[in-house]
Parts: sequence; C-alpha cells; structure tokens
Amino acid sequence: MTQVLFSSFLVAMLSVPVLTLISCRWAKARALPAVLLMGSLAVGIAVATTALYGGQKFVIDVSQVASFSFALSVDRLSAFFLLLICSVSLPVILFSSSYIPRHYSGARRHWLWAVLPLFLMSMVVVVTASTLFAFLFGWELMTLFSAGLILIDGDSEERRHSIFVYLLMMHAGAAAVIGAFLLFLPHAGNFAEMRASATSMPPTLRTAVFLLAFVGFGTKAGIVPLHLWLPRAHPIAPSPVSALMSGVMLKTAIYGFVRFAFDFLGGGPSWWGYLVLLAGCVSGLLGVLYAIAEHDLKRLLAYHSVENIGIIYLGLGAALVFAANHSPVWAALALTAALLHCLNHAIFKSLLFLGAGAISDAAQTVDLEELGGLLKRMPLTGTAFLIACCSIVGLPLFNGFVSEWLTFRSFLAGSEMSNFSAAIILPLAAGVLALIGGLAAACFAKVYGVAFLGRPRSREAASANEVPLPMQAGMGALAAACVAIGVFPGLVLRSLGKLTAELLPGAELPQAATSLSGILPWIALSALVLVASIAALKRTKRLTATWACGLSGLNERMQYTSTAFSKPLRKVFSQVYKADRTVEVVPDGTPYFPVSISYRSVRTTSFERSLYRPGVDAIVAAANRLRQLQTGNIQIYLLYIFAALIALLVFMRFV
Amino acid sequence: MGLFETAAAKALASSGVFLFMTVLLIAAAKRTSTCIALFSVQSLVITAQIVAASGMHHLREGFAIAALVLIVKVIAIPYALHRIVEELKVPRDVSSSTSSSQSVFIAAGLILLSFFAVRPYAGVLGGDQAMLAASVALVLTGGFLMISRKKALMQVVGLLVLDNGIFLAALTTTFGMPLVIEIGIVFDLLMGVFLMGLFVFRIRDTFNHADVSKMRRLRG
Repeated sequence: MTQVLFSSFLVAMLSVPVLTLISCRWAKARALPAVLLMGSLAVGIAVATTALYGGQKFVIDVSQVASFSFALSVDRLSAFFLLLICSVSLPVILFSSSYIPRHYSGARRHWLWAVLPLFLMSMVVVVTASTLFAFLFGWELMTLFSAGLILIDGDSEERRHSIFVYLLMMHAGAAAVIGAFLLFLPHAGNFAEMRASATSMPPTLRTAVFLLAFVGFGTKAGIVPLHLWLPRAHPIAPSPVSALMSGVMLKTAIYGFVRFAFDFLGGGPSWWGYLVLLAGCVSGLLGVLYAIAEHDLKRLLAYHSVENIGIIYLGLGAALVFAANHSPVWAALALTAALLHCLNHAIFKSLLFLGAGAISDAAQTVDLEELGGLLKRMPLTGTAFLIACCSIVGLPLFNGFVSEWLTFRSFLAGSEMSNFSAAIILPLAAGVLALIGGLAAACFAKVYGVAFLGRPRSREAASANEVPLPMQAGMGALAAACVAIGVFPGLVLRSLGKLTAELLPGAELPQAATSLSGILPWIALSALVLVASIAALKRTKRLTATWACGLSGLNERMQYTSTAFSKPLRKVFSQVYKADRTVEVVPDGTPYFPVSISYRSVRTTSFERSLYRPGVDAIVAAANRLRQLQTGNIQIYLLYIFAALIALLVFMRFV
Repeated sequence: MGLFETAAAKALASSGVFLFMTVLLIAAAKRTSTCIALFSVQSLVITAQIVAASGMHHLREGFAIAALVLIVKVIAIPYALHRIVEELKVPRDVSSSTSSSQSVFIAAGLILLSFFAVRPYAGVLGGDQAMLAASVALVLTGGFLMISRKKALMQVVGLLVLDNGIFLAALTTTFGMPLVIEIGIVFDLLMGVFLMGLFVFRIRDTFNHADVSKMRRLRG
C-alpha cells in the first residue's frame, strides 16, 4: 500500500514539469502545477509518516528493468528525512504559488515551475536511494537544479561568479563523496552490501571512508571552512528557493553523513567524534559572528544556516564520542537532538527565508538599513517572523529550544563519563553552544528590532502592504509547526527514539528526553494564562512617537541602525572580522572644510584571506608560469613535439 | 635470380644513400622552389624503392601503389606547390631561423641520431637497417623543417617530408600497407596539401605576409 502511494508520489512529482508545459499554452491551467505539486507533497508526507511511525521498510527496485542498478528504499532514517523534505516544502510551495506569479512572468515563471519539482525530486532520490548509482544521480542533479533555480534571477557577472564558486565547491564535495563510496569496492553496489562489508574493513580504510564522507558532506552542509559557497549562493536565489536550499537541501548532507558514520560504519574511534565536535564549534561560532555583522537579511540568514549546521554537527560529534565510549543511551540522546535540530532548523529557517521573501515583496529590499516599522504594516508576517526568531535562538516553547536543550543535556551528561578527555571536552562544548545561543539571540534581536519595530527608514518600507493570503498561509503553517513541536515535542521525539535505536543498537532515549515532553505543555498552558491575565488588566495608554523616549522632534535617521546595534559585539570580536576601513575626504588635504566625506568598511571573512587566498594565489602563479610555455608561436609548439620525439627515441635506445 | 631481381636488390640497398642526400640538400636549400623540387626527387627515390621491393617480392599491387605515389607525390603535389609559390608573390627564400650550414649540421646530427635509434632493431630487420634509419631521419628532418622555416609553405613541405618518412617506415617494416589504406593515406595527404595551400593564401590575404612566426596572438 505505502509502496503504491510512494510510486504515485514520484510519478506525480515528475509529471509537474509536463503539466507546466501544458499550462504555458493554456492560461486557465496556470494554477495547476502548484496544486499538483502540493498534492503530491501531501502524499509524500503521508508515506513518510507511515514509514517513520510504522517502521516497515519498502523498496522500489528498477534494477531488473533498467540497465543500471537504481533502487529506492525507505527505512526509518530515510522516512524521517523524506518527512522533513515534504512537510517543509509543502508550505514553501504554497507561498510560492502566490510569490512566483507576482515576481516572475512568461518563460521564467514556467521555468521555475518546471525546475522546482525536479529539484525537490532530486532531494527525495538522495534520501531514499539504496544504491550507489541512485544516490549519486540524485546528489548531482540536486546541485545542478539548485544552480538552475539561482540562475533564474539573472546572470550578471557577480552572480555568475557566485554560482561558479557554488558549482566548484559542490564538485569538489561530490568528488569526496564518490571517493567515500568507491572505497567500499567491490561491495559498493547497494547500501545493504556496503553495510555488511563495513564491519570487515581494515581500520585505516574505515578512517579514510569517514574522512572523505566528512569532507564531502561537510561541503554540502557548509561547515566552516567549507562554507564559502553558502553565503554567496543562498542570498541570490529567489526567496522560496533560498528557503528550500537553506532549510532542506543542507539537510540531505546531514542525512548522507549520518548514513555513513552511523549506519554504514556504525561509529568509530572517539577522535572522529572530536573532529566533528570541533567542526561544529567552529561553524557555529563563526557562522553566528559573521551573521551579526551582516545587514543584508538574506545573507545574514545564510550565515545562520552555517551556525545551525554547526549545532547539528555538535550533536553528531557528541553522539560519536558517546558511542565510542560505550554509553549508547547518551549517544542516542545526542543523535536524537541533532536529527530533531535538522527538522527544527528546516522549519524555522524556511520560515525566515519566506519572511525575507515577504519583506522584499512588500518593501522591495532586504537591506535591514532601509527597513523598519514593518510589524504595523504587515502584522501576520511580523508575527510569523517573530515566532521563527524565537525558535532559532532557542527560546522555550518554540521548537529550537527542544533540540538545543537536548544537545545541552547530552553535553552535560558527558561530565559523568569515565573517559577523562571526554569528561572535559564535552562540557566545554556545552559552553560553546551557550555562547552560540547568546550571540544568535543578540543577532535576532537586531534583525527583528531593526526590520519590524521602530520607524520606516525608506519610503518603500513606509508604504509596505501585507502580502497576499497564500503567502501568509505558507508562513502561518510553518510558524504553527514551530509552536507545535515546541510545545509537544513528544510528537516527533518518540519516533526519533525508535530511529536512533535502530542506528545505535541497544539504545533507548533516556529519561531526560521523555520528561521534557511531559513538562512543556504545562509550561505553555501557564504561560498562556499569564499572558492572558496581563492582557486582561486594563492599563492607561500613552501615545508618543516610536523609539523617541517620549521626546519630540526626532526623525527616523536618528534611530539605531543595524550596523550600530551590532557595533559593540563587533568591537569585542574584532579579531574575527578584520574590516578594511577607508575614509575619503574631498578635496584632499582640507580636513576642516571638506566638500564630502565618504566612509567605507569592507569585511572580508578572515578564512578567505588566510585559508583560500594563498592556495588560489599559488595556483594562479603556477598557471602564469606555465603560461610562458604558451608562446602562441606555432613553431615553438612543433618544437615541443619534436623535442619529445627525440627524447623518446634516445630513451628507448637505453631501455 | 634474374637480372631484374639483382638490379632491384642493388637499388634497394643503395637508395638509402639517395634519401640521405635529399635530406641534407633540403636542409641546405635557400629557396622554397628548390625544396619542392628536392621533395619531388625524394618521392621519386621512394617510388623506385616501391617498384624494386614489389619486383623482388612479386607483389602486383605494389606497382599500383608506386604509380599512385608517382602521380601524386612526384608530379601533382610539387606542381601544385610550385603554382602556389608563383602566385603568392611573396619573397621566395625559406627565411630559416638557422643558417644554411647550421641546418646541414643539424640534419646530419638527426641522421646520426636515427641510426643510433634504430640499432636495437638491426637484428630483426637484417640488411634493411639503413632504410629504417632513413625513414626515421626523414621524419625528424620533416619536423625540423617545420620548426625552423618561417614561411607557411615550408611547413607544408616539412609535413610532406615527414609523411614520406612514415611511408618509408611502413614500407621497410611490413612491405607496405594494403592498397586500400595506401590510397586512403595518399588522398588524405592530397587533401591536406590542398587545404594548407588554401590556408597559406588566406594567411597572406589577411596578414599581408606568410610568415608563421609573426602569428602569435591567437593564444588565449
């Protein structure tokens, strides 16, 4: 039954592009692609939910009819990620059904509707593949389709450079992934064989597989320092596509890493865990620090993806460390926390990007310095965005809290370990996680305060109007999901517990996880009562200008800006930013009577400067040196051939 | 052994010397037309070799190949090249980057190198060692001409000499290739010369000269 449903889901997804082709001839069918896509995603949710909660596996194998081994199978891990993809995409598509016609017309709109389902389809193939071929097929298509979706917004020189960086890094990552698969040869045909052969592998080979998978999937996930593409590619995509890329596509990399590290290899020595922990710490801290300094909303959100991937990697690393030190219960908790954070991040990050889309729709910009006062003009968008902000910084009663708290819990449990280094390092990582959370809170206080509160900083922001109903509905659904998981985490935790028990044999969720889901609804209820009673109390109201401390005569140019708000933090962490500041005074040499003064501050991420720059410079220098061989003179080229011929003749004589 | 066979064997044994002479003379030549004439002579020597070899081994299709080579390489191509030289109306010297005497020394060195290179195969080939050395020398000299001569037309001549070397190598090691393949190769060469001749005219018309050493801005 589920198998038939799953097949029909795949067929329906694949037929959307065909339908788009029809609808571009026939104007009445304009809404059909979106409707069919949402319908098929709903079927996908049903399939994934049955498979996740029921736990029965099913397989679609076309290896017999096709000339290559292509098979999809859904076990609990796949079902979880399938659920993540379908349930997050559904509201995003609902949002797009109104966003895309408003912003794109003609060929570009048809193009979007044709490529979007294929992009979703490729991600579905990645998480459900059970053969090497199927996985890599989906993996490569995912990169290509997402690049295609980015290109829809135009191909100026700068954008092309960003897409080039994206494709380049994805290629490098894919090479590492392919390498990780090929090390399983000759058992690399399907996943079951690989799982069976992994136990008899020599340790060095296992380490090589792990490292390749770590680098390959880490590139896709965007861990620092492999994150370079992420803040370039995500902000330039159309907002719903950014939501899908940041919310959903990154998670396929987590899926791949979990599949390799836990399912195939079944854990390893504890230094694997420490490596993943380190990657998580660095990504989380640098991600949030770079985010704070941004004032382009979409780029800021992209950096927050780096941060959240860091938090997920912290959980995965802790799980590996616990598993290596024979405490499967805590490993299960950490892994559950990481997987739950995947789902949570998918939900609130898509919501944030959709919010950014709604803002750009209403105010024509996502530059925080030109926004302000949007809450009054877009109340529903503002509320949904506020819920997403609360979730991402991990406030209680929102979903981010549950997963971050579980991660904390597992780190603190590390102090009870008998292994000395683990007992030191894990609690320290909890400190890093706390710092990340605090910085994220500061960052989103800035975002929400500057964009939605205060007074409008531009004419466009002042004349912003609430977005149409489907866009509100898409954001509303995601916001509802944030609150639902935040208040009733048991909805997901129980099935995740079963999933981790499959991955880590002999583990079941500790008391810490289950007790949380019992307490949170009561806290929510009491909070609700408290808020209601405060609202019920009548209070005298006094009207003054916004953000003017009761004074009069202040204008919007005098309010806090995004840059000003983040200045203290940038000062504290100035080592991370290394800004290039230039002040130009015109005319030169008259500091007291200038005609104009311009100030510019360019922040290059120090990673680019110290890690990638030398490598790129070395390659360019080597290429320039090699270029001297290319004189352009045909006779020199002939001379090369001639010299090689003579050298070979002489060489053959002496061999 | 009849008279014809004896004569053929003598001719084969000594023809290597003629080939080396043409090689040295082409290296020394200062005018394009001289080079073309020398190429014609060289091809004639090879034709004689084919006739002798096929006479010795009683191969009837060898005579067909010889006729083909005679028509194409001894008559048609040199005639076409002469016409090109006349109609190009550019200075007729080969404008070499090495002087005439240097070229001769280099060609002599290349001949020595080719003897040096084919020595390991002497046992396998028996008396044909000089012939194989000649074919390698032709290939090397052809390459050398292409490198050192600046006129576009001399590149064509260099390529033709090089091709003669390959042809001769095939002849000495396997008594030539099957007729069909030989016909293919010869027509390939004819088309090649035709195209390159066309290109020489185009180069002259575009750049007002036919000097390849001045064409270096085509790189990326």
